[in-house]
This record gives sequence, structure tokens and C-alpha cells, in this order.
Amino acid sequence: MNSETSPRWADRLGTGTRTILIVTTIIFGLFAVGMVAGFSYAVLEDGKLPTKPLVWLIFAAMVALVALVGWVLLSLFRSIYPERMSRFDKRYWKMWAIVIGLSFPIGIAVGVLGLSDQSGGFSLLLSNAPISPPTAILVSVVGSILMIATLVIYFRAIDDHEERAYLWGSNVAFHFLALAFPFYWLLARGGLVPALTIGAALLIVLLSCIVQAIVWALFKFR
Amino acid sequence: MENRLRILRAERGWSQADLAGHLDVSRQAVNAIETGKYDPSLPLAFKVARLFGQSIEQIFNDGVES
Repeated sequence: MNSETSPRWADRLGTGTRTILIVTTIIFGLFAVGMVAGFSYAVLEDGKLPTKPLVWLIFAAMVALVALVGWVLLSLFRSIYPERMSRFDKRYWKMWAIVIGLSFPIGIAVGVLGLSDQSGGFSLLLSNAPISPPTAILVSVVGSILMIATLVIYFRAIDDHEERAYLWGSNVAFHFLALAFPFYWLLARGGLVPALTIGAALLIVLLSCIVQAIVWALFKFR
Repeated sequence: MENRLRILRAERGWSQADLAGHLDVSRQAVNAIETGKYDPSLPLAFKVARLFGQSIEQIFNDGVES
């Protein structure tokens, strides 16, 4: 499909070297992921950010190692399966890389912001604890901009087929929401469920997102 | 809607991925059109017709007698 010739460093390796490199990279990757997870868990347990620079240095090194492992594995994968990607696939996967690349650091930033906020709670978006007005505004504005930006990037990269899958998913999710809230309200009035709290409402919103994802996947991959 | 996409593709010895590359869509889109699970948009139908040098009616059949 594509006449592009791009001999990468991984193309020059023999099968044995590739195998050793893959195994070694996976071991290092698991180690780094374990370190990052351990760090996050320790911060969660402690309830505050570490102050020693060395800890942050090690954390940054581990995040960099995870990224390096990803890059090495991707290069090896491409050398083993050299079939060139189509223009569409390149655009599509680049879109996902950008969307995840945007979301991941912002997610970490939101977590760190939650720690430094007056509430002192790590789970900024997973609890109902009070937060400072600047944090509330900042997270709302950044979240909205991120959502709109990623949607624009997404819709520019997908084809008609996936657009239809997304729109059907959104349509079903909207009707799920439109039914779930009044039904819950009626059930609460009937004394069958507790009165609607903001937590329960957000849970329903989360469920609608799951419904959207399931319908999207059904239409895209069936 | 029935279509002759699979036949036309096979005549050229193309895989679904090859055809997807020519049409600038995903392989899943080609598969969904071939199996009749998805009717392409008009611009995509024109693209398909142009690629195979045939009219839309020669490739897609909505089952209605004209």
C-alpha cells in the first residue's frame, strides 16, 4: 500500500537478539510499572505528596522507563510485522496516541492537584469532599476544553463507519440517561431506593458512558 | 443492501486491508459493507464506484426494481 522505506534499528537485529531484547524489555517494563504503581499506592496511603526530590526523580525515571519500554516494544513489533500501515491507520492511531497522550498527564495533574488542594484528598474526582473554588473552576474548564479538543481530533480522524458507531452509542447513552433519571426518581418516591445523591447521579452518568462504549464497540466490530 | 464489493475486491486480488487503504477507511468499514451490516454514505459509495470504474448501481443493489 505504501512505498515508504524506513529501515529502523530493530530491522537490523537477528531473531535471537530480538527475542532476548523483547524478554528483557518486558521484565524492565513490569519492574517500572510496579514501581509507578507502588509509588501511587504509597501516596494514596500516606495522603500527601512526598517532599524529597530523590523520590520524584526516581518516579520520573520510572515513568520515562515505561515510555522507553513502550517505544522499544513498538519498534520490535513493527520490525517483526513489517506490513506498512495505510494512511487511514496512521491517522487513526496517531489520533489515539494524541488523545491518550493528552489525557494521561492531565489525569496525573488532576490527581496531584487534588493532593495539594485544601481538601487534602487525593481522589479529587472520586469523593464529594469540598474543594477550593480555583480548583473547581480549573478542573471544570480544563476538563471541558480537553473533552471538546479530543472530540474534534477524534472526529477528524475516523471514517463514516466509526462515526455512525459513535453516534449510535451516543444516542443510546442519551436515552439511557433520559430514562434512568426519571425512573430512579420514581423508585425513590416509592421508597424502593434511597433519594438521589450527587454520587448516585454521577454513577448513572458513568453507566451511560459504559453503555455508549458498548454500543460503539458493537457497531464498530460486529 | 446487497453489493458486489467482495467480488470486485477478489478480482483484483486485494485483501480487505488493501481496499480499506484505497478508500481511506478502516478494515472494519470494508468488512461491514461487504457483509451488509453497514450501508456506506453517498460520498463513500461514489469513492467505491470511482475506484472500480463502475456506477453505484452496478456495485450496490437496494433490491428495488426500477
